[in-house]
Amino acid sequence: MRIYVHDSEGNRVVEADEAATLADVTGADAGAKIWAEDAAEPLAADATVGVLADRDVAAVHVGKGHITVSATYAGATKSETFGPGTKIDKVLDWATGKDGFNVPEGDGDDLVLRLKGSTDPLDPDTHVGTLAGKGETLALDLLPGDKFAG
Amino acid sequence: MNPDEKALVEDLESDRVMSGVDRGYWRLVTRDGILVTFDLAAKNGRQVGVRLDCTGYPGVAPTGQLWSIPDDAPLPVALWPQGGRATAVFNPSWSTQFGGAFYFPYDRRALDGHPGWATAHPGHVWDLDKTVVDVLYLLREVLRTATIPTIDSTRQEEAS
Repeated sequence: MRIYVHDSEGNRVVEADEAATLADVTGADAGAKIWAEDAAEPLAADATVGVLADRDVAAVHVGKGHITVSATYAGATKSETFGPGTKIDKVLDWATGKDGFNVPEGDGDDLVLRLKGSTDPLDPDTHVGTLAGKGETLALDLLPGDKFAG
Repeated sequence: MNPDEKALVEDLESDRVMSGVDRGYWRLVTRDGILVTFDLAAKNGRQVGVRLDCTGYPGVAPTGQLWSIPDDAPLPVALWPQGGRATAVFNPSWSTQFGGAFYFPYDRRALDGHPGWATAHPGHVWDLDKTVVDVLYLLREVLRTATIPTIDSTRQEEAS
């Protein structure tokens, strides 16, 4: 089974049997926790690869704790806490949704997330725990995607 | 195998491409030398085909066009995604003069006439660190904003 293993430095792909423990497969350090992608809480310490079998994508994040994400839009800032394995795509759903800035549906589709002060695109499958690096917080801007003219 | 094709093949085998496939962002339909065709997931369950010509890759950006997967031919203009950012990127009055190219900085035909884009859009400058995945992600971002054609009109066209 193919597993995407993300952490504070990036990600890699490993192949593993469903009976293997995620701790062994990921090489997680003692004290580290393992989150399924987009999950709010970590998996059990002895969880095996098999717990990922019914998910669309077998992806995990090896980290220490939750990430507090703040997003700034039109001069206002909102914050929410996510599991470190939360994809940037899911954070975008929160930021544009009713718990975030409640952007009207059509307008929300035009918005993208960028690291605060940056214009570089973010891969939608990037985990917030990777973007936060060794930290516990992540600051983002919610802004309209580039419009190319001229 | 020429260097551009070799570089393309290496990138098509990358974890980033595979991750996009596994997450349902896109599907690699076929590759013929430096021509590669993808099926991209768009809004409301619609699939949009794109074909990229990667001549000179990665030294120069690919050039692309919307592609009908069932017909293995350019997508008829009537079916081009429109609305939001798609209206500018898939602009028939401009694109049809340049082989259907995408009006954005990751298309070499568009880039040729727009040296100012590098300054205006520093987050979207094509360089040797960019790959076909960056093109696919930008297309995905643009397609999120498209409002037409609807999936129904596409299905009717494909069924006819």
